[in-house]
Amino acid sequence: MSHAVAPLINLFTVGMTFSSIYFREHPRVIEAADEFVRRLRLALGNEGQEELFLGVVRGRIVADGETLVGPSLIARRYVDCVEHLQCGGMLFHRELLPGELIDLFAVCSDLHSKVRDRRYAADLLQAQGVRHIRLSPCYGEPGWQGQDVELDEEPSTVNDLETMIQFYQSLQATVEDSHERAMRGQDVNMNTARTVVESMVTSIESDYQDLLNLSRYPDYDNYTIGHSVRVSLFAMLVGQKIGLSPIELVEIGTAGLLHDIGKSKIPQEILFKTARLDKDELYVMRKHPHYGGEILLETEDSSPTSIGAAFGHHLRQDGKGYPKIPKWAPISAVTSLIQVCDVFEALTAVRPYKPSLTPAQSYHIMMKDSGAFDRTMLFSLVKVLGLYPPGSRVKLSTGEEGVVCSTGLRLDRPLVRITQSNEGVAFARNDQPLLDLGFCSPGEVHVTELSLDGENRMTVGSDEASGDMRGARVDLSSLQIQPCR
Amino acid sequence: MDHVQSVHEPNAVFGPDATRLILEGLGRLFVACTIYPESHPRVVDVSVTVAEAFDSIREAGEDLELLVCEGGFKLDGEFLEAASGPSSRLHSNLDGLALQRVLLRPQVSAEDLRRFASSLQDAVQASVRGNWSLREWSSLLPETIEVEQTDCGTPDLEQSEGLDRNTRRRLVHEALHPLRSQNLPSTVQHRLELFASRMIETTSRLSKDRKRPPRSQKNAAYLDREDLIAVTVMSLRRMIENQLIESNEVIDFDEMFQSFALILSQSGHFQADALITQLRTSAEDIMLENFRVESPVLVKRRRKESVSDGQRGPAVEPFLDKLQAKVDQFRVPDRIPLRSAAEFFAIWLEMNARKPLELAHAQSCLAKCMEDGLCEREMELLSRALWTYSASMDAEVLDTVLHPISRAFRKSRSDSFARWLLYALSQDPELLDRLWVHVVREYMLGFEEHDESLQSQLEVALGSVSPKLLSGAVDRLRAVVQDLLEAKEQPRLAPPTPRLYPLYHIVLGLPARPILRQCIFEAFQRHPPSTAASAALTVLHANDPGARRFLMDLLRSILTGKGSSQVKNRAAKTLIWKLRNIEAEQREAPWVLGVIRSLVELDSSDTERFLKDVRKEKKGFFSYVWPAASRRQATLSLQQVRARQQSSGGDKR
Repeated sequence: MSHAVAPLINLFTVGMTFSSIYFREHPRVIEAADEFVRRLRLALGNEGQEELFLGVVRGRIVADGETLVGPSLIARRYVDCVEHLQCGGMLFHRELLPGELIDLFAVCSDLHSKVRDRRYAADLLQAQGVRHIRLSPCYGEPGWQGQDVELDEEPSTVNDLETMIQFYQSLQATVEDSHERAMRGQDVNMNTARTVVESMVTSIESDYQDLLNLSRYPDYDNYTIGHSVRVSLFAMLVGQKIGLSPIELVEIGTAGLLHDIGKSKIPQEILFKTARLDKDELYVMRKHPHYGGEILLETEDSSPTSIGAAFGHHLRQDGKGYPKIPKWAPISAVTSLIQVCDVFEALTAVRPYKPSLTPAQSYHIMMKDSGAFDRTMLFSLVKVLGLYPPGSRVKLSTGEEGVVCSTGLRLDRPLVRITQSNEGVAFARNDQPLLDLGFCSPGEVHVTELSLDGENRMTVGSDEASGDMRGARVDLSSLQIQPCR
Repeated sequence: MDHVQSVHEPNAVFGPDATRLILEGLGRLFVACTIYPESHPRVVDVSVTVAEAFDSIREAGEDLELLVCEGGFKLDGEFLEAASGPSSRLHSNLDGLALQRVLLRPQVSAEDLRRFASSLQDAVQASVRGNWSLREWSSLLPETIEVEQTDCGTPDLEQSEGLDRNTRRRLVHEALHPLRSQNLPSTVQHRLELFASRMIETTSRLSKDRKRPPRSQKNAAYLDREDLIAVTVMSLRRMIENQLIESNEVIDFDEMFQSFALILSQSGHFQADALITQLRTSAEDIMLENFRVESPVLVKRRRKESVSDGQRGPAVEPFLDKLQAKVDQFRVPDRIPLRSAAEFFAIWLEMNARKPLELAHAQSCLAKCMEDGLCEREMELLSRALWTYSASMDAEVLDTVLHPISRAFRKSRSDSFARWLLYALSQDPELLDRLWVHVVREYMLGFEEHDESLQSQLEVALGSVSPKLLSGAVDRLRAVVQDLLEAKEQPRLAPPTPRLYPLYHIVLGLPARPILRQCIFEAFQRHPPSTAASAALTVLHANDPGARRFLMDLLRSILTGKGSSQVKNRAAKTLIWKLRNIEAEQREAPWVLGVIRSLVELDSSDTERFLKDVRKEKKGFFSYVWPAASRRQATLSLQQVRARQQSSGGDKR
């Protein structure tokens, strides 16, 4: 059942988002509610169950006694709803109607703080005609509808998972809120964005790989939110490794989070289109950097670096790219860094219209496009992320699996924390051995598979090792990110 | 999303929202202080927000007690989990310093909170270096904030399992600080981090197990433990510095431990040797158990078969080789300027061309890009861009842009903006219509930094501005004038030359602050116009009644060639009024003789009578009011006045 949860949480988030931005009958809200109900019935039918319970324990989504990391990362809206309704989760009955879900969205959109108690919340839903959603008591209270949860004993690839999930949720929330506010024509809350990034800069230090590991869970909706978070994390990681000060890292992180803010002004039929965009749609889409610059320039307290990155992240070093800018204009280091991270992220991510490329293939494409990138930033990115970026999961030629901690002296020889033996046995966090591939010969051990998102595995060391980069034939313009003028 | 999970008690005074806001705010303030200096606007903003959250406390008039507990805080009787990054960071640092209680008085201000957060950051740093003293530190805290340290016998400490994650990380960070400036491979850095982390953790556990001193010896156990950890951190730091000199690639743990132990033994700490003995034993375990750098499968395979030299893995393909070679050659520049004023200027121009945008924020952003000055390249780019756009830009927009740019130019090289102006004007003389106000500013205020030739070129440029243009742009001129005043603490204006009298005349007529009037007066006093009436300037003060009017009339009479008799008349009256009112001791001053002499040139009905008074006026029967020299000059001047009257036909007024 747990595999069905992520899409449901996605749909819940989409429905809630559009219900709070627009109105309850908005087509996107109706579409999300219809799809939620369809998928719910399918999942329950397959399992022969009457109700699906989605619990929340310490900010995380639990189902069937399991903590679900991926859905938890994007579940801020669901977690907020559950907390505001003073319950520990919701039970969705197979008879649930889309209209009831839309009513729930509307009720929750109007709640900005916790209600008096769970009984009051239940009455509120009843009064709105929501009959097929029940509220569970909180975890640990009598009547909790879920199974026992082993919160502290889960085998984990991430150090201090709870803190990392919270950080990630904050980053997601910041980008979401910023886009929503911009969509409504309100000022973006720069203060909140800076606060989240400051907190990361001071608290996380060496744990970027953990956040990057989390950030690779699949996106929902239009890919903008997760993409922005990842770009921000890449940029901060590179910035940290090239010795930038904490103040500069805050600037870079904030610029990364908000670089695609202009997409909030792009019509949704274009933004949410899963197929390739046609010429006219592409023309509209390419306005987003201009909108982004404009939104931030009109936002009190925005910094010139954030404005520059939002406006200039599709500009090329050779003067091409978009939007139009005078020929004499330089591109600042922050904009160049965000641009490099933006393209790398887009190349290595899965999109409905393209598969994920390996970092090596991505570098190949980026290096070939000689006029596109600032060399300092591109080489810094390659040096910091290597062929197996920190946080990504790898399978070794020994059969063991692990998480990359950091790059090594050689780009293809990272430091790996082994999380699973060659017999498929997971190691507890404290027992996970470190393997420095830099100290082993390629004949002894090398990476055979790479997974950037925890799901899609890419075979490495075959095409790349034989020098075949045919897989890297995707050109930048086809990604809708770097068309030439 | 609520970052702080709370369990609210019914007898709480301030309410859950207020306490949550305060705690979250304090966490954010502490985080901000670790990044920015105390006076940074960001820190100030956050502190003001927290202080505002204290309003409910002020209303209640009660102290707010913040207790540091396991996993969170107790605030106003409410347990608040330190769940978010900022609050958990605050928690770990208070806990790391063994501060168990922070008392905040109702009068606490934003400034107090800033001081506290900043001091807390200092304390954390000092405790890592091992030179933190609670007594000394707490004496520097604001009166509205009190702290209390954990008693050594408290259950929290006894039950603690070594260091918490954040504290350990902070200590490791401090130990590895020298690496920051090194471009070490991340694998090497990672190994050093692991080693440092385990050594610190082991020290903390060893010292925790030490026999606790009597309860009466407050904090001794804790400080003892802190002390040992501090010595370990310092030794690690020195060891890493030494290691970096000798090796920057392969790190041998055994060698590293030997080096570390040597430094530790040289630390002079009375417990160092005992600590080394214990660390050596545990270091072997650490190396064996925790520093396995090989996968279990690999170890097994190696045991079973030796890998032959000829056995090779997959061939390294050409692209990766090339990429690797490029990356190996690549060096990160020492300094990467993140911002670009020219980039921002270009973006803003582009956006503003489509839709006029708010100017003030754009101006502050532009200023922010240039707050550290401008490099040659940026100056060149901006110079060219300004020249290109000056002709087409709206005057208000141009002024908005030039304001911060001119300051940054001057900051980078004092005469650069003036030179740019002259360059732009030489290329397109018609730009003078738009740029003249900035030429005014450069001429008037920059003269001390410009060479003579530059100043003279600016004067020529300004001299060709039509009076109509000058008087038609009073608002722009006023803005420039205000800018002049704000630019320097004690502004001095360039010497007024006759060519620029029209300009000075208009500036003097502007409703501006008194300081400008004073500056202009001082400039004319240093360089008076060559007319008889100018003598009056030397005795006048800018704030004297009618002084401004007099100078304006004087300039007008020079510029128009009309009304000089009225000006002379007024000058004479002014001088006579001034001399009659000076203190007795000032009558001896040398300038007095000059003024009496100058009265001859001025046409006034009062002159003759005043000169007679100077010559004859007495105090008592025998002594004169004016000194002998003054009387002699008055006699001479009187003779000249009479002679002039006779020569002009005995016209006696």
